[in-house]
This record gives sequence, C-alpha cells and structure tokens, in this order.
Amino acid sequence: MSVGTTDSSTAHPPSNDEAQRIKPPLLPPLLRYILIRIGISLLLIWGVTIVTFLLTNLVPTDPVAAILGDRAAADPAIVAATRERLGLDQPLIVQYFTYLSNLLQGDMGVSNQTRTPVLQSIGQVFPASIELGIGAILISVIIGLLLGLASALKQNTILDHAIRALSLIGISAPTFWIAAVGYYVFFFKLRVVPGAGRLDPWITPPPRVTGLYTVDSLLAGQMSTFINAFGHLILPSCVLALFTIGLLTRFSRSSVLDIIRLDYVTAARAKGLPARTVVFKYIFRGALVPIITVVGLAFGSLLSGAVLTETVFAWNGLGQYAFRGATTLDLPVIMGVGLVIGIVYIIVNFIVDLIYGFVDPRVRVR
Amino acid sequence: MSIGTPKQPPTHTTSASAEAADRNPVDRGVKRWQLRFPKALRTPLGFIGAIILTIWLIVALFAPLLAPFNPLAQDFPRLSAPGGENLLGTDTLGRDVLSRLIVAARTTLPAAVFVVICSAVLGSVLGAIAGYFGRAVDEIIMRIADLVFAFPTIILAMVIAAALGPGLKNAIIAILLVSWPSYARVTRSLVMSARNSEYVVAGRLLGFSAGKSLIREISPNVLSPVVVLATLDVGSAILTMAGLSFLSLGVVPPTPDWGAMISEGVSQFAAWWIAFFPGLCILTIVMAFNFIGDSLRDSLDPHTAQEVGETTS
Amino acid sequence: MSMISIQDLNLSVRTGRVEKHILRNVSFDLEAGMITGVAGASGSGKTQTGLAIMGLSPAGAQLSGSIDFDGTELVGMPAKVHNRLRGVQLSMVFQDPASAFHPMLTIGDQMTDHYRHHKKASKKAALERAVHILERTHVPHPDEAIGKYPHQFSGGQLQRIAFASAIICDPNVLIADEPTTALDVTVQAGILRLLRELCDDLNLAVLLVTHDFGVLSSVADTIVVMKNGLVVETGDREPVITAPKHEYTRSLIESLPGAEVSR
Repeated sequence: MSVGTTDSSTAHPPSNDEAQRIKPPLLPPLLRYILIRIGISLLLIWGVTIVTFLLTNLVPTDPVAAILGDRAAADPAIVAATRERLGLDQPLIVQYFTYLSNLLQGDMGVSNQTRTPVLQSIGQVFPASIELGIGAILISVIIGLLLGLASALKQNTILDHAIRALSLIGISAPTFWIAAVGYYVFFFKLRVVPGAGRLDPWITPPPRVTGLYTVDSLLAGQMSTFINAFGHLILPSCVLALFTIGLLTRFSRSSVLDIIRLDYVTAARAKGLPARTVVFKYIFRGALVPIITVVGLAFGSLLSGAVLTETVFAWNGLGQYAFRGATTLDLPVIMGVGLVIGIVYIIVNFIVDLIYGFVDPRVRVR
Repeated sequence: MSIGTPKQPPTHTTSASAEAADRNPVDRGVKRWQLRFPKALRTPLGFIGAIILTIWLIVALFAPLLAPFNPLAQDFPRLSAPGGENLLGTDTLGRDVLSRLIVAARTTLPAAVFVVICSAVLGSVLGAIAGYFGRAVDEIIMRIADLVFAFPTIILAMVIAAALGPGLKNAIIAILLVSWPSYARVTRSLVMSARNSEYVVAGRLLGFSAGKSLIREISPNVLSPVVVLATLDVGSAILTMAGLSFLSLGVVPPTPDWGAMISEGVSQFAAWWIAFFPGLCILTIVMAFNFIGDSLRDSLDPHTAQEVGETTS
Repeated sequence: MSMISIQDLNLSVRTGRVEKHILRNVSFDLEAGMITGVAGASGSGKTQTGLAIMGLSPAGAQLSGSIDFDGTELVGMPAKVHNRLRGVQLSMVFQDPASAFHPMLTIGDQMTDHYRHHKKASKKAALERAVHILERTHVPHPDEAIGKYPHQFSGGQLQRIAFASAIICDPNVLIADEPTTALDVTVQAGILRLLRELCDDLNLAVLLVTHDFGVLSSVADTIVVMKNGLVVETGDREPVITAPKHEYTRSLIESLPGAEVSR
C-alpha cells in the first residue's frame, strides 16, 4: 500500500498543546537583534575611551614634563601655564569630556616625537594593516576549518594526533619570532619571496582609493603592481595566520566533535544520505555557528600579531607605528593605536554577530 | 584533591553488573611509572610537556651553575657565530648568547607563574563573588570584565605597560590586569550552577553562612577548571611578556630576556642566532604548558571543559 | 515470512584493552504490519539493536550473527550498500525530536533531501510529496510547515514531522527509538496512535524501542524484554503481560503505576 491513499479526514486532530503558540513580537526579531548588538557595541566603544583616558591621565609619568622637556619643566610658572592650557587643572570628569569631544572631532593628540597628529598618521598606516589582516584571516579561516574538520572526522587517528600537536605548537610560538625566522629562511636564504615592505622600492604605489595596494592597483589596472604587492603580502600574512590557524583548528575540531555526537547527524546518516552530504550539509553547517563567533576573537589576535610582526617585515602599518611609539614611549601614539584597535575589534565582533544572526534561523525568525 | 578528577555527583549505573567489571582498566599489568605519574598527564602530549617543563625547571633552578659565562659581561668578539668557545654565539655587544638564554629563564618562568597565580586568584575571587551574590555586584564585575575583553590581550597590555612605564614589575601588573577576566567568567558560571545544586542548597538550609558555603561546598567544583585554565594561561602569559619585551615595554636592559633578545636580533639578520635561540626557548616552554594544560583539560568532564574553552589565548 | 529476522546477534565494543559486550545472542523477528516492542532499562542494548539494523553501530563495534532483511543479510554488508537501504527501506525515528532535526535547515529541506537522493526526484516534486506526507501524519498547514525551521514547532509536531520524514520513501521497516519519551504526557498518546495507524496502513514492520512498559502494553503486538544485552523474554503481548515467565519482566510490569494494564 502506498503512503497517502488512506483518507486523512479520519485523522485525530492534533491536541491544543501541539498548536503553535506564537505571539507577534514588537519588532521583527532580526531588527531587534541588530539594534541590541549596535547598542552593546556603542557601550563598549564608550568604555574603551574611558580606559584609554584613565590610562593617559592616571599614570605616574607627568605629561607636562614630557611635552615641555626638562628645561622648561623646571620653571613652575611655565608648568602651571601649560597645565592650564592643556586643561589639566580641571577636575577629571571635565577633562574626560574634553578628551571625548576632541576624539569625536577627530583629535587624538599629537605624537611627542614627530609632532604629527596621531589620527593623521593612523589614517595613513591603517590600510596597510587591514590588507595584512584580511589576507591572514582568509588564510587562517580556510586552513583552520579544513584541518579542524579533518582532525575531528578522523578522531584518535595518527592524522588527528598530528594536527592537534601541530596546532598546539602553532599557538605556542611567538609570532614576531616566526616572522623573523620566516623572513630569514624564505627571503634571506631561499629568495622565494620578495623582501621587506609592501612593494619593491622601485615601484610607485598605485593611486590611493582604498589604501589597500592590491585593490588599488587592480582598480588602476596596473597588473604588474598588483603582482608585486600580492607577492609582498604572502609571507607576512602566512606568518600572521599561523597562530590563528592553530586557534581555529583547535576550535573547529572541538566544535565538529560536539556536533558529530548530536542526534541530527545520526538522523541524517539514518536517511541514507551520502557521507559528503552528511559532513558538509549537516555536520559542517552545525559546527560553523560557534566557529563564526571565534573568527572575531581570532581577528583580535591577528591585530595583536600585526603590532608585533609588522616591524620585522618593515610593513608600514599600524603595528610598525605602534612599535615606534612603544620604543620611544610616545604615549599619545600608543593610546591612539590602542583606541583604534579596540574599536576595530569591537566593530569586527559586531559584524561577526550580524553574520551569526543571518546564519542561524533561531535568531532570524521566531 | 587531585587535578585530574573533578568532583562530580556519583553516577548511578542501572545495568551495573556487566559494565562495572570492565570499568577498571588500570589495575593489571601497568608499568610503575604510570602509577606514579598523574593520570591526566599520561597522554603522549602531556608526557612530552611534563618532560620539557621539568628540564626548564632544572635550568631555571641551577642557572648560575649551568651558564658557562657571565650573561652581562661583554668579554667576547661581537657577533661571533655559534660553535667554538661560545656554543650559541655572541650578540652585538659581545655577550655569550647561551648564558643569557639560561639566566633569562630565571626571570621569565617565575614571573609568568607568579602573574598567573595572582590573576587566577583575583579572577576566581571576583568571579565567585559575582556568581554567588549576583545582581549589582555581578553587573559591575562582569561589565569591567567585558571591557577588558573588548581589547585584544597584547594591545591592552601594551597600553597599560606603556602608561606605567617599562619594567618587569609594570609588565606583570599589565598582564595581571588583562588576564583575570577569563577566570572570573569561568568561576562565575561554575559558581552560579553550583549554588543552585541540591547539596549547596542543603548546606544553606543547614545554616551555613554565605562565605562558608562558598568555600566549603563550591570551591572543589571550581578548583580543577581554574587549575587547567591557569596551566594554559602560563603559556600565554609568557608570550605576552615576550611581546612586551619585544616592544621594549618589559624587562629593562641589560637584564637578559628572551623577547628583548629577539628584538635585538631582528635588526641583525646575518647573525641569525641572536633571535633564533631565544625564540626556540619561548616556543618550547609555552608548548610544554600548552601540552600539559590540554591534557588536563581533556581529563575534565566535557561540560566543564567547555567552560574552560578552546580559545583561552 | 518475517520482514526482519535477527539470529544470534552479538555486538561488542573494544576500548583499549577492555572488550564490552553490548548484545549477546539476541534473536527475534519483526513482522510486516506488526509492532514489535523492545523493553529494557537503559544500557540493556535495546537501542543498539535498532542501530545495528540501520547499520549505524558505533565506530569500532564488532558485529556478528545474522540480521536477515527480506532475504538480504545486513550483518557485514558494505557501508555503501547499506546506505542504499537506509532511509529508503529501513527508516528510523529518534527519541528527542528537538535534537533530531538540524536547527539551521528548513523542514522541507530535511524531509526531502534523502527522497531526492534516493528517488532522483526534482525539488518541486519532492516538496509536493512532503506536503502530502505531512498531511498524512496530521501536521497542520503542511504547505507552510515545509518553509519553517525546527524551532518553530512544538515537540509533538516535530515528532509527527519526523515520522513523515521517515515514511516519505515508502519504507518496509521503521525503527522508533523511544519516540514518546521526550514529549509531554498529553501528546504521547497521539504519537502512539499515529505509529499504530502508519504500521497498519503502510504494512510497516515496526521496532518500537522503549523503557516504558506502559507504552508497549498499549500498542505493541509482540514484546521482547532485554536486560544487559540478553533477550530474557519474547512473546505476544497478552501472555507476556498477563503471565510473564521471567522475573525481570514481572518486576517491570509490577513497577507500572497502579500495575494495571489497559485492554
């Protein structure tokens, strides 16, 4: 007998308990979710400004002395005048509002060393780090996910043990050291990658649109510049990706292992679906949701890595700027970099939350 | 209590007879070292980690005896290659690299362990308070924790260390300030689930005070995950510390330090040994802690292990 | 002839040096149009028996003996061949409907992906059939249901959808692993009625796994009682319930609330 030939009007209607109990919400769920996320991100950015403000103002080093130099700092009258000019005689809360309104107008202070406005310098070097960061995150997401998936599917085999050990080693190595070793081996000894910097010295940068050399050179139709910029990008982004590959491999392995145990995977296999479908449609999709949230965190460690590695590659980005600021104890520069990276990190995690909202129907539809 | 066996309510097996006999695989035909070695570390990785760590502890402990030369003395030709009198070469000032490496273990290792213990204690206490009392206290503590999490670790540590000025003490304060929140989060959620469990509620009904029930009833549940987290955290503390030294915000010269040595070596590419060997030191010691921590984490029950997480770096 | 005949089925799992026997010489038959209920405590091997028929025994499990499915031997069958039977002729419904569906895929997608794979049907035809089958299992508004996600349904409705998904390819055998355990008491009876109805109308050989003897006494035609991987008693419902031969069966019956048996 085939299914459905019986008359379904003889059926018992489902009981009231089974009926759907859904009230229409005030706002569409996705919009509500996005608004909440925006609110949280703004609060966090506000908190970040408090942190940088407090650190600049509650520290033992006297900013006046740093600005004036030893000679002038010896004269109490000049010191007092400077304090007044800088608003340092005001109560802390007033100083904070001055700081905040300056920030909102794009004033992040002036470098003690070069006397250039911090925001201007950061604007110049920022795209370089973004280019590096995007390259590294793409490499680490692709490799990390595949390694993690392979490791979990072959749990407790030699492959799994090898991947686990390698990923642990990957998160144990100091990135700036890997950068130095990589540069030494692949450039200094083997000459398989181009040297330091974002372009070879004899190549003029493409006209600035986005500040990303690879994108700008393509926009300008300069193929040779693109190839050169791309070549320069390979080693730094691979080095930077190493740590996050380890991180993402470990996380996706455990995430896939969590999913494999679930009933819906057994149910998918019980439906006789091909292994490929079970792995990619069911297991991987399920594991992806927690993994997406970790990509945001991984981006944070990429930014940290960039601060430490750019110097090695003479990559004129935020990291090298921060390195110079740190070695000369240029406080406005360091605070500016900290503030910008903190904000970028919050924005990235906001985007990650958004993707999460779009991917997971439990957030999207009620 | 031992690290490897988190306290759990006894499990009741209904079909005990067939399974119970098979449950105890350890008793027969086991080598003696296995019995002495903590069970959680009996994985290959845990074992390798423990051996590497032991070697490093010996190096740090007997550094003055092991270092062939004075690490500060500029007695040798500059930039001489490894081999010969200076086994691992000399640096730009003509100091013996091997001696500097060995002596640097004495600052890095205790400092990292110290900072991790401090942040574990600080974080767990704050997390326990937040989890046990809830409401406003919880909100304040956890929002501050969120704020710390809003920065990538090294960036915040860099900002704090720069504000306080370079030096080992300030680097330790910076790392302490950035690393307590992960303990607070773990402890808070464990305490929150433990405080509602039957045995703690029973304790309250018996009239135990808040403090007493926190310490006596809940702490055993919280201890093992915190120890695991701390083990993994020593590795990241060493990495952060090395990063700060690399940025000249950590240990002040001429005190030997691995991160600072790499920083020096990066500008001397022909003399690869100056940067290469200290990096190897950092790698092996961080790896040892990660191997051990990972094995310990696997020995936790799955739910608690999830709290400790994969992303504690 | 029996649809499925299990003879001397043994299943053991080796972890390290320890070998654990999960099933020991299990033998019983499933008949078309009949519900065979397997009762036993957790760990008695009842679920593993069902999974063995599906070819989904845990990794590293050693299976021996015989499972004869309509003349085909299932024990030792290559995974690829078994995969062609799964979902088509052998199908399964799980304990907790909330976890048996992928939270990120629509009901329509999850109900039809195996149908499309096995029957080489178009997406449109498959969805039409899904709507039809959902009506058959009394899911309200089937045409809307196929576009929704699992979290938008109650447990009882999801279990009805799970049954629909299980019968969409017109199977011969249905394994229902504790299909009512995770549900509200109020909807359990409805699901059991549905099971009985599908069994009768589609001439399914049903294996109903449960720890709840009350469930068996209301729907099962034959009853198999398992303990520690052994079958301790087999027989038609009436004699097993009214005059249990084995002491363990008796203790299960006596532990029923009120120890009374419906019909």
